[in-house]
Amino acid sequence: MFDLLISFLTNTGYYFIAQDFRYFVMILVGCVFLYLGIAKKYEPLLLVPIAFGIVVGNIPFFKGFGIGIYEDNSVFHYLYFGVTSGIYPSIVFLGLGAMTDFSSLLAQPKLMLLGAAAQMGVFFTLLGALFLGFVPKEAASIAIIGGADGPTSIFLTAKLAPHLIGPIAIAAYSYMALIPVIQPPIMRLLTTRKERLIKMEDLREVSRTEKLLFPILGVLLCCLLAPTALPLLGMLFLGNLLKESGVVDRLANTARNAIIDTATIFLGFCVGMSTQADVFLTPRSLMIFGLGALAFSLATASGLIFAKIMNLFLRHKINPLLGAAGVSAVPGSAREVHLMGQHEDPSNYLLMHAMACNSSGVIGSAIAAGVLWSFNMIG
Amino acid sequence: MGLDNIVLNNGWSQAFVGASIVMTGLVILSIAISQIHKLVEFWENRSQKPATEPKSPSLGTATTVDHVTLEVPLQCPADINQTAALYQPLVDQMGTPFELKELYQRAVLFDLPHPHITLKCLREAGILSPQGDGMFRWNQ
Repeated sequence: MFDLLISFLTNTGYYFIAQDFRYFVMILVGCVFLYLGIAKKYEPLLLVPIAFGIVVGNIPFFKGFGIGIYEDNSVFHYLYFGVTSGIYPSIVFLGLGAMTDFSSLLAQPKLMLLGAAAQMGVFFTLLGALFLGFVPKEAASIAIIGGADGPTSIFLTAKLAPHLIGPIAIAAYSYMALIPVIQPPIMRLLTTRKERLIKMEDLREVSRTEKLLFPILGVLLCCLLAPTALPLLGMLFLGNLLKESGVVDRLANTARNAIIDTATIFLGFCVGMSTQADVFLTPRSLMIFGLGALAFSLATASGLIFAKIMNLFLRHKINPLLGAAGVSAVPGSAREVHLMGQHEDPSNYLLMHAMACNSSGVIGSAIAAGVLWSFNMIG
Repeated sequence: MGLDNIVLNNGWSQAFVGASIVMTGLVILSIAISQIHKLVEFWENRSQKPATEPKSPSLGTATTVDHVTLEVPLQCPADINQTAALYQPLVDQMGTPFELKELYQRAVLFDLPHPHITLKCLREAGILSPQGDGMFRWNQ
């Protein structure tokens, strides 16, 4: 009887945690994320499922029971298939398309260039990751963190370096949640007060026909150029067409509510669970976090600098803060740009312009992911 | 590791070509969407051409051509208070202070006409006053 009790105790999570403290560290990380998500309201829709996933995924267990996310035929393994196959990110893009109003972008198409410029951070980081010794597929997966788009990062990593999904997804979502901490110092550093005070010209009203044509043109122009972006952009523009067509409101409503919520829950939870301490807490993960921060900062800086360069040629100057919204963290970076503009001048209203840059950033990062994927498949 | 690894894996080319493709893609898309409204306008004018053709002028009378204007109003409504009354119930639901973004979203939801321009006019009229940090107060 005593042997049975001992045998049971050596199979409990407490015993395994005592054997390997890394699980305890990860559970603490999960609790910190829960605090940030619930108490501080940092991207709670993402952080809460991810954080709880981290806690659940790091409860150690006896291997072989078919419990863990990395064990064949476990329930969590099947749910995780949606991540590794890229299904959840595509579904999230469908909902995102059904939520996004591209009017501000259609009213000022030149702001789309800022979304493209911010993607330069992705390619600078690609060089950085290669410099640090990562193989090309891993480097590409790390670099896409600079796109500041969680689903895109997960999609590309699932295709190129599935063993890095945990750290890359956590880095991508952490930096998205930390936008209010990361972006403002870079914005202040790279712009003068005079530039921050620039007021944008009013946006023109956009007709329904324009909004209707945009998803069709968008999918044709972007995906003919980079067909590998189809799983993301195809779904994004489908969602937007459902919204703008005005004849399938039921489908659009389902896409922007039930479908994206379901995908977000499973995506966040599974990504959190994939951070099992024994596969997550490695020196490479730390390097990925470092490179992720670099990618995010470089993307922000690229957008800001490009906006200043554009101003050299434009008659009506644009507020260079908008460049920081070129990363595709919707709507966090747009909100941050708006708040900084208002901090300098409460009557300066930049939100709608920043949303234009944000939405072009979503398209830009999906193209960048498609391009990196195709490079690595060709190579 | 190091620059050798970048060269060995064709990193410089990947970065340069990749960045160029992304930039090209979005430049093409931005050029295309900057032309959409012109094409739409052209198409709609084309379909209305028979209706706007001038009738043959009769002697001694001035010829007038009726232009069908499809442009949205770029000026504020004459009676801003009347417009404000439309927005009052939305503001009442939100409490004070409120986020302008939320008011805009509600205006779109309730199909109020030209919400972006209207909000701008309400701000200029002092009915919407900024409180900083993206928050606004309704002054009426």
